[in-house]
Amino acid sequence: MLELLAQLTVNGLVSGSLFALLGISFGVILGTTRTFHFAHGVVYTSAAFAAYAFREGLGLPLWLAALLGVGTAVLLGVGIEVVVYQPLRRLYASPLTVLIASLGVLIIVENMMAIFFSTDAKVMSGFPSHVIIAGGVAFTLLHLGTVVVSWVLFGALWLYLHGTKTGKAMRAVASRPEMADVVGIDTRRVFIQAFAIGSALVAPAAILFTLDKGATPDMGVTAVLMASIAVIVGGMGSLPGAALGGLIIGLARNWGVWVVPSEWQSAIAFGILVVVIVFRPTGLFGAKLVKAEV
Amino acid sequence: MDYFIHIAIIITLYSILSTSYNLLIGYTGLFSIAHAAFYGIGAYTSALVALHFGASFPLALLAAVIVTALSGAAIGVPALRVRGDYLVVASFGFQMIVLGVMLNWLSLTRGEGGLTGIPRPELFGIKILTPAAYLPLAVATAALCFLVSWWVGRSPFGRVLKAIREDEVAAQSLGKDVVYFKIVVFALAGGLAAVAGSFYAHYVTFINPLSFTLEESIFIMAIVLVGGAGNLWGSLVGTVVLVVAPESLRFLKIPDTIAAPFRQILYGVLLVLFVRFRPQGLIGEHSSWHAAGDGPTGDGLARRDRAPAIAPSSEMRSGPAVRTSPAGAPLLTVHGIVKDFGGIRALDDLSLAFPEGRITGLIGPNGAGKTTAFNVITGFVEPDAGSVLYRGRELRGLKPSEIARLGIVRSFQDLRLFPRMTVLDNVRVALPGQRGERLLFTFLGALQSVRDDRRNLDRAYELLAFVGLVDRAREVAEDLSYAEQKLLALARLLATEADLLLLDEPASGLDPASIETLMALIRRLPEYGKTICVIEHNFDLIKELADPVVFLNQGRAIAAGTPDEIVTDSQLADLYFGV
Repeated sequence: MLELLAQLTVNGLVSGSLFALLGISFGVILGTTRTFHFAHGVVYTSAAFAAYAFREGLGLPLWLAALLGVGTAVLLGVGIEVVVYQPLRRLYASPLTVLIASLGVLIIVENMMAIFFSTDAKVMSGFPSHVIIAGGVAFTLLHLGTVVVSWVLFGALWLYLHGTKTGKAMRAVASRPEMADVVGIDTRRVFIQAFAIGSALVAPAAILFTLDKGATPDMGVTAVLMASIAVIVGGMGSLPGAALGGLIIGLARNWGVWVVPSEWQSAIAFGILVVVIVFRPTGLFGAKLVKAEV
Repeated sequence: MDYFIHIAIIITLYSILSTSYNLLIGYTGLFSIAHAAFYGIGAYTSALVALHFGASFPLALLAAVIVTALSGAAIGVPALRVRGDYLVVASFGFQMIVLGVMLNWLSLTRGEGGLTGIPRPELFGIKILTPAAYLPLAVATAALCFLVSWWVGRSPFGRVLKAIREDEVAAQSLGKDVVYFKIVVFALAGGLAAVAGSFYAHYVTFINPLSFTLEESIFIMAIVLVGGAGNLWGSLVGTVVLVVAPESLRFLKIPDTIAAPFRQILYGVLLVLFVRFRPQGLIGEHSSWHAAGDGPTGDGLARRDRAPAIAPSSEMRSGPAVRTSPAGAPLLTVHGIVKDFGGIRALDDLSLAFPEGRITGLIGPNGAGKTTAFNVITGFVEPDAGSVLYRGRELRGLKPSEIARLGIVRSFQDLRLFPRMTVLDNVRVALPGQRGERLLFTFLGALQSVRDDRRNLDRAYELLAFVGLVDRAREVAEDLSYAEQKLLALARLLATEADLLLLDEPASGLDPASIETLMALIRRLPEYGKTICVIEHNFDLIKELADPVVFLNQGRAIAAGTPDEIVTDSQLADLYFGV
C-alpha cells in the first residue's frame, strides 16, 4: 500500500515536473505579452517532430536532434509572434482577436503535421532505457532526466529574469507595459524575446515526452491545456506559481488513480481548475485579480 | 439528389450551432471554446435516452436540451463569476474532458466506436426515414432556433448582452447584474446547441466522439467570425460558405486522410485572415441591409419639445420636483471611510454628506481621493472601514449593480460608453426595470415586452432630445465627437432614473462652448428632483454650479461650505492653487 503511494508520488513528480515546465513556458509568454498563445501547443509539437525527423530520418545523434528541435520551436514561436500576432496588435486588436488567431494557427500547424507525419505515434530512440529501483519504487533514467531538466530550466529562467538586464526588462514589461514603454524599453523586442524563451523552454518538454511516449500531431493540444491550467492554478503572472501549479496537477492526476475511475482521469486537472477558480480566483501565488483582459 | 439534401440538412444543423455560438461570442463577448462539447452532450443525451428508455424523439430532444443547458451552467457558474480569460481556459478544459469521457466511459458511450442504431424521429405517428422527409423538419427547427436567437438578440436582454461585451464595468454601473446575464446566455446557447446535437444524432443514427472535437468548436467559431460576429444573418451566410466550400474537395478526388486535415487547415487560414483583414466578417454587425427601423413613435417625437422625462418616475414627472425629505437634508452620508491601497492611504476617515436636491461640488488636488470616494460609494471599491448611508440604508457590501438600482449612479472620467452600440441603445439599455431583461419574459410576455420597448424607445428619445442628440440616435457611439460622447454619457446616466448622480469631471477636455452646454444641462437637473455630486478641477465652473463645495485633501474632507467660503480660505488656496 505504502509502496503504491510512493510509486504514484514518483510518477506524479515526473509528470508534474513536465507540466511545470509547460506551465512556465506558457506563463512567461502570457505574463510578458498578455497573449493567450494557444498555438504554443503546436510549437511544442513542432519541437517533437523536428527532433524525431532529425534523429530517425537523418540519423543525427540525439543531442544534436534535440538542439535542432529547440531551434525549430524558437523559429516557429517567434514566427507566429512576428507574422500573426504583431500585425494584429498594431491594429489595436483586442486580446480576444489575438486569441482567435492563435486557435487558427493551432489547427493549421497541427493538421499540416498530420499530413506530413500521419497520426500514429512516433517514438524516438537514443536515450538509455535504464530502470532504477530504489526502496520498492521503479523509474527510468528518462524519468530522472525529466525531473532534472525541468527544474534546472526553471532555475535558469529565474536567474535570467532576475539577474540579467534583458531579463529585468521583461519583468518590467510584464508588470507595467505602458510604463516600460515610457522608460525606453522596446516592448516589441521584449515580446519577441518572451516568445523565443517560452518556445525554447517548451521544446525540451516535448522532446522528453516523445522519448517516453512518442509524438502525435494532437499532443500539443493537451500540453497547452495543461500549461494554461497550471498558470491559472498557480496565479497568473507568477512563474513559481505556474511551476507549482504544474507539479500539483501531475501529483493529483497520479494520486487520483486511487479514487477516480479511469474514464474520468482527464477530468482531474479540470477539477482542480474549477476549485481554484471558485475558492481562490487569484491562484496560489497571484497577488491580485487583474481587470478582465478578454 | 440525396447528396444535396444531405448538404442542406448539414447546413441547417450548423446554422443552429453558429447562431447560438454567436450569442456568446458576438453578442456577449464571451469566449468559449466548448460549443462542440455542448453539441456532443446534446447528441449523446438524446441518443442514450432514446436507446435506453425508448423515449420518443421530442422527449429525447427535451432531455438533451435540459442536460446540456445544466452542464453549460455548471462550467458557467464558476468561470463566469471571475474574469473573461478564465472562461477561455475553463471551456477549453471542459471541451477536452467531454471528449475524454465520450472516449473512455465505455459502458455508457461505447468509446470510439460510438452509439449505433439511434432511432429515426417519429412525429405524429409518422416515422421520418429519408433525408428528403427529414429536410423540412430540420429547416423548420433551424428557423425556430434562429427566431429564438434573433428575438433574444433584439430584446432588452440582448441589448444588455451587447453592453456587457462593450464594457462590463459600465454595464454594472448602470445596475445590470452582469453575472446573471452571462450565465443565462451561456445556458441558452448550450441548450440551442443541444437541439442541433439531437437532430444530428437522430439523422445520422450513428454518433461517435470524432464529431465533437476541439476542431469542431473551432469550425463553429470560424463560421461565426467569417460571417460576422454580432450579426445572426452573418452566421447563416458563414454557415453556407463554410459548409459548401470544402465540399468542392470531394470532386478533386483527394484521399480522405488528406482531405480531412486539409479542411481544417482551410478553416484555420480563414480564421487568421479574417481577424486580420476583415475583423467584422462578411456582414458587419451594423450593416444596413438587415437593420430594422428603430425610429421614435410619433408620440415620442411630438413630445420632443416638452419637458424631458428625467424625473424618477412617471407619476412624479408631472408635478414639480418631488422631495421625500426636507430640502437640503442629506440624501447620502459617508462616514469615517478608510481605504488603503497597498501602503498608500487613499481615503483617511472621509466623511461627506450630499444634501438632497442640491449640487455638491467635490474639489481637491490630484490624488486627494475624489474618484476613490465615488468608487467606494458605488460599490466598486470595498472600503476598509466606515459606512455609506443612503436614505438611512447601509450600502457597504452591496454589489455595484445593486447600488445602482437603489438610485445611485456614477459617470466615469473615461466615459465608458458602449462604443459599438448605437447612441439610442446606449441610452435605452440604461432604462431601469425593463421586464424584457428577463429571458423568460421576452418569450412568455412577448406582447408586453414589445409594448414596454416602444415606451422605452420614446423615453430614450426624450432623453436624447434633452441633451440634443436626437439627430445622432442611429449612429454608433464611437462615431460621435468627444463633446457629444460626454452628452451621451449624461443621457445614459439620466436614463437610469437614479436620484443621486455622481459626475466625475463631466467638463474635462471640452471646449468652452461645449462646457457651457453641459453645465446648463447639469444646472437644470435639481429641478427634476436629482441630487448631484460633481468632481471638477476648474474652480470657476464649480463656483457657478455647486453649493455646497467640499474640499478634499489626502483622503479627508478638510473644508466644506459655500463656494465663496472655500475660495476665501487662504489655507485651501495654498493647497489648491499652489501659490
